[in-house]
Amino acid sequence: MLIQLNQKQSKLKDELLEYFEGLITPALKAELNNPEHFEGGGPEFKNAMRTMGEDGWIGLSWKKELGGKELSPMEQYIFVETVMRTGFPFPFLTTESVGPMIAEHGSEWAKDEIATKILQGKLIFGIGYSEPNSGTDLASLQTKAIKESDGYLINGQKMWTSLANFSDYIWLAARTDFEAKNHKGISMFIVPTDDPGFSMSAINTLGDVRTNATFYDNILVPESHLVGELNQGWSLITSQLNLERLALVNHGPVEQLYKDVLKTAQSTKIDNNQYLSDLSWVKHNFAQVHSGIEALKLICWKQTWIMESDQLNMAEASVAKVYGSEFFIEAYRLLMEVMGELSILKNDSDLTILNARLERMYRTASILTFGGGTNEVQRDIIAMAGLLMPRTR
Amino acid sequence: MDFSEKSHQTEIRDSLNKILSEHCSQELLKEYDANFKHDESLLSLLSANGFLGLGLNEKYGGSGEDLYDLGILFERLGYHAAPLSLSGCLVDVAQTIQKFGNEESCKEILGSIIAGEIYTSAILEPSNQDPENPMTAAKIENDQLIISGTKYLSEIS
Repeated sequence: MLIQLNQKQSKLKDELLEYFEGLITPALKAELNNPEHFEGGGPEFKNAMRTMGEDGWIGLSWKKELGGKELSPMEQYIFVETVMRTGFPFPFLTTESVGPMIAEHGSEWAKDEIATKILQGKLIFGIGYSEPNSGTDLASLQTKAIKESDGYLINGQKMWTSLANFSDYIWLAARTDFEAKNHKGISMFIVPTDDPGFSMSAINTLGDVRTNATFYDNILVPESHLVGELNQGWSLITSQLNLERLALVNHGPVEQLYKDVLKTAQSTKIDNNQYLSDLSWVKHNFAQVHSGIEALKLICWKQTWIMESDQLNMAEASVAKVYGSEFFIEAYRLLMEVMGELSILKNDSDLTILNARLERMYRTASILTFGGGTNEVQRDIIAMAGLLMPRTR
Repeated sequence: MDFSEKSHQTEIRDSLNKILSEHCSQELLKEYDANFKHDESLLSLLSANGFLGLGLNEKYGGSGEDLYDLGILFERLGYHAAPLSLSGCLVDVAQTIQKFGNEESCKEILGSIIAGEIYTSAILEPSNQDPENPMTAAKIENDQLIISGTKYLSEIS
């Protein structure tokens, strides 16, 4: 057992930190402070994505034929960790979960036109799984794709299609066999958002986060937009979700915020003789956050290491997701307790500390406990696939 | 990065599982639980099979200074609810002596721990919250160390 980054990996991390200092310009920072753009999608965000693509960072572990560098999943993890530390809203669902599925299972067109452009930072995907009557019980989804002579005709409605407001395509699950039982009749499609049959309405949710309801009205996509085999979409969904669940809990952002709060506490004098960080209860809070981050890092690193030789395991990905998402909430709460009342101010106040990151991250952290599959379902998966207990539903 | 276990570590776990699942029967656990006793027979069994030398240098009769190996022992003792508390002896005492003790005490003390002799640590004192400032005193008098004071909550002393 050897649990540490090797020399090359540590060097990569340093190199990336330096790189992002140059990439995150004041103009980009200003754009990301605008609530309309803080999840991405603005012109500066798009520029930065393309630059990262051109500089070869997005696909470190991807195959050379698609434009990648064929390094290990660990290098890929380090890249995502470092870009997320900067606060840049990196579209990791596109690059880390949907992208790899298209690269592996897509048609020739999808590999050439979609996967390569994801690596170039030119495409963003939204994910179309949940529906008004189908969320946790995803296999009951009703959006239809009917085979026509020149492709598939798609009709239906999706919920919680996050980022759809600036996505180029939707990674869409649709029913293609109406006789087969639930999950056996589902296929995956790449659906362009510039089709006239595509529309959406915004759903504004907690933490100033926007998500969407999306509508698909007689959208005809060619055969090449089908990913994987017909009616075999379920395994693509579960594989994508495993990758998503791991990517959601990357330890970069929480560790960066912890370091920044620690530094602030170490330089905040509370009287002539001591700093905020000298108080025993403050030390306790830091120690709790620190040990939680170490555990999260081990979970993520182990999963990433497994990906070097094998598929991500379903129960383990759910373990990472449950632990990480619930830890984030507790960690941000403990750090806010240290910084006191100023940490609850939003970023439109002159008195904010650390760019109001604590306040925002604390409010958005709850989303991860149900985004990517509710933690109750994750616990069912862990019980069933990890502990081999009987299926509960 | 490599999260895989070395083959000898899997072997340690397997053989501990075998010994402990045979030894720690429900009847035995009930008996020890009711009498709040320490399982001497298990201690000899672990000693005879070399498990008390995990994490200790070969030159003192141990099986190497890998703390992961020692961790497997505690993991398995806990798993089988073995009526034997060894962390005071194998961690507090043995690991501290190995790190700070002179050659003579290493040889003598680590050797006897591996052979199945129990040592324990005495750290806590009544009415003293600060282990860095013990009230127990040690004085050298006529080439002898004279210790006086009160300790409590010493494991299996």
